[in-house]
Amino acid sequence: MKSNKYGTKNTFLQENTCELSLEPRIIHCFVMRMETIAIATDRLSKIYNMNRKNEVQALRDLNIRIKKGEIYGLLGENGAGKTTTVRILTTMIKATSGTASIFENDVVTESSAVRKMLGCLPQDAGLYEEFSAIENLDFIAKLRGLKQEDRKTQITNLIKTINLEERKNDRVETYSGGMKRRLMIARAMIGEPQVLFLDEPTAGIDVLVSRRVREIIKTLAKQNNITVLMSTHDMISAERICDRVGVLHKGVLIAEDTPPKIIQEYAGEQNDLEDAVVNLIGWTGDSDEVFE
Amino acid sequence: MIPQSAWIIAKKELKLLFKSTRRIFLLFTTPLILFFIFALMIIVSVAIISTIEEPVEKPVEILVIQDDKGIDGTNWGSQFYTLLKTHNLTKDYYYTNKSVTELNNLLESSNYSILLYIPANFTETINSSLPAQFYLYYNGTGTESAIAVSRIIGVSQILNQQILFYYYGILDPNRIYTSLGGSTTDAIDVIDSELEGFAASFLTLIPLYAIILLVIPSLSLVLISVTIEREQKTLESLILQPIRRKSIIAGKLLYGALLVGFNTVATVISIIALLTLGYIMIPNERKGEILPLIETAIKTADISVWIFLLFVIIGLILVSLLTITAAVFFSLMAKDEREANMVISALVIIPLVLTFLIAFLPVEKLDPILQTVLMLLPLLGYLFAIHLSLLTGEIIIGAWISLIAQLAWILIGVWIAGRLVESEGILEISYRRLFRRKT
Repeated sequence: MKSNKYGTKNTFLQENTCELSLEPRIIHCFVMRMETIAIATDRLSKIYNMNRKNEVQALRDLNIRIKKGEIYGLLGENGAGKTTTVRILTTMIKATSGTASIFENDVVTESSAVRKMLGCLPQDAGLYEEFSAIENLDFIAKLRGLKQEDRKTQITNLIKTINLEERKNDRVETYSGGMKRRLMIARAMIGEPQVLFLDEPTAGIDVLVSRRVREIIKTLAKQNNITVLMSTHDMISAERICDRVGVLHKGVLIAEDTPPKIIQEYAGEQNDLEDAVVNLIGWTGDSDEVFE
Repeated sequence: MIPQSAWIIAKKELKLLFKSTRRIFLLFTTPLILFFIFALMIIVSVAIISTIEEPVEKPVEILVIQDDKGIDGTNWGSQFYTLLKTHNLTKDYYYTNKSVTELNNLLESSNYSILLYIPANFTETINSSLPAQFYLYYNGTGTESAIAVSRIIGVSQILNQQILFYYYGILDPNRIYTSLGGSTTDAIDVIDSELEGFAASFLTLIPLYAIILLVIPSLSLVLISVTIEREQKTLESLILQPIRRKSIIAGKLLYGALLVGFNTVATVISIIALLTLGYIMIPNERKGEILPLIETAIKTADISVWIFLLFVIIGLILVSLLTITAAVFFSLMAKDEREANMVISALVIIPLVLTFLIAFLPVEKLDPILQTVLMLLPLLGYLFAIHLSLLTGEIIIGAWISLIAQLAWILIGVWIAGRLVESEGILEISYRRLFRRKT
């Protein structure tokens, strides 16, 4: 079994063999960790404007492990550290301390290898407005080094999946918000990435489009066995498509489990994920409490 | 050498360019403006050429005040005057005698082209083996008159090597060369160098205008391409691709270089097309006069002229790339197109103003070390090198060094931009970050 550079293992086998016979919980953990870990962070922290008056600790000692093929939701209030986490994992910014890896590739020292494996829909992503859907996808496909035949096949399939066949040759500037969002997801899927990062994929779109986007994410992820890390405020999306969710509050991971278990444990009488998260972060209705 | 991803980005930019009317107009601005100006010039020139009669050469009139009284039947002033009228160099001028009483009136009214005054003691001074003096006034009208002045001075030396003259020219009316102890040859050199200085000043500006006309449209387009990536938020998705971030810079530079090349070719083609059109429009009887002129110009140009042209072209390519690098670098720093435009305006105006200073100030008299330092400056150094080369009549070593300096500035620009991009990510780059201490 290969050991990564952080001194941790991707399977439970070698480091915990002696504990196997002790408790059923450990056996469950062993089974889980036998599976490949796609995303791993170790004591990941990020401080913006360090040693300055406006210093902000956006992320504090974040430890997460996301299995291959899992859809993981990062939940939390504005400024909780969700986007910072996604940005560090997608090599866009560097962590102040701690490490992060995608399939054992360090996001800092092996950023190029990491970028080959990931597809990403950033929070404020845009498209080339004067290009058509096909041209937007073709440009990214070329950058990812796809051959002409592969480009054609993948683009055709993705256009079909996101249901943009009729408008595929129209300029993007003529698209609705929902069409653009679907196209962005398709763009993130170009090159068949192993890990997909979605930062607020349903932000700013209506319920019908949001439902369609959810379906697309789930279809694409399950069809291609892709690991998805999705940061979102959309609790319905998180509840319906995420295998597990993590709740961030002021840069700290305060809870992590499957949506039903989070609801069961923290939602109280309301029985939905939104109440569970609200209860977890202890919101009192005072907006000033929201960490920016 | 150029990464594949840089080509892909450059091609994408070209594709986007041809989808925007505004950007296409920007690209074709220079050829369009030049086309319009040249077309206008050609139409006017052809119209004038067709109507004008054969020019009648009017000989230069020289007013002569021969006041030399002579001694013992010898009159050097009279001999000088006769020599002027018979010598091959000066015999074709039209001489008019004037009385010494008219001297002051003539000087006050400036009603002359060339006025030659031979004073009463001219012979006496020569006979005493002292340098004799005559006075030459020139009101600066026309090249022919300037040539006549030089020839009169030359002929006066045939008469007597020790002869001196007072020269009052329009270029510097207060200066009396000979009174400062200079010889006639020095005086001619000074006149020549002043004329050359002016020519050099104007010629220095030509590459600057070439840069402004050919590079600025490309500069604006590169700037737009970078800032639009920011504003349309496509930069983020670009840097998430498995390519080296330096490739993004390389792609933008390549795009800029292609635009400069395209603009240059389009401009040259439009000029050639118009010149051809102009030639066709010229009446047949005049065509015979033009071709020999062009042939003579090409045949008489020696190797140094071609080397100088090569120097100018290499320099233009380098400074074009340098300006494009600066555009990419500064637009990466700018938060939007407005801020980037402000920086680019400064990038254009500062060298423009400084080049005017260089062209019209006596910078050639600066210390050689300071001259070399000036030649190392980006863009300005190249223009300064051209200016000095035009003044000295040869390409000095410093000029070649200035070309190497331009290349060095390009590499430094690309390196710094690359370092910034690779270290923290394009999205965090800002002018403020350049001065912020590293956290």
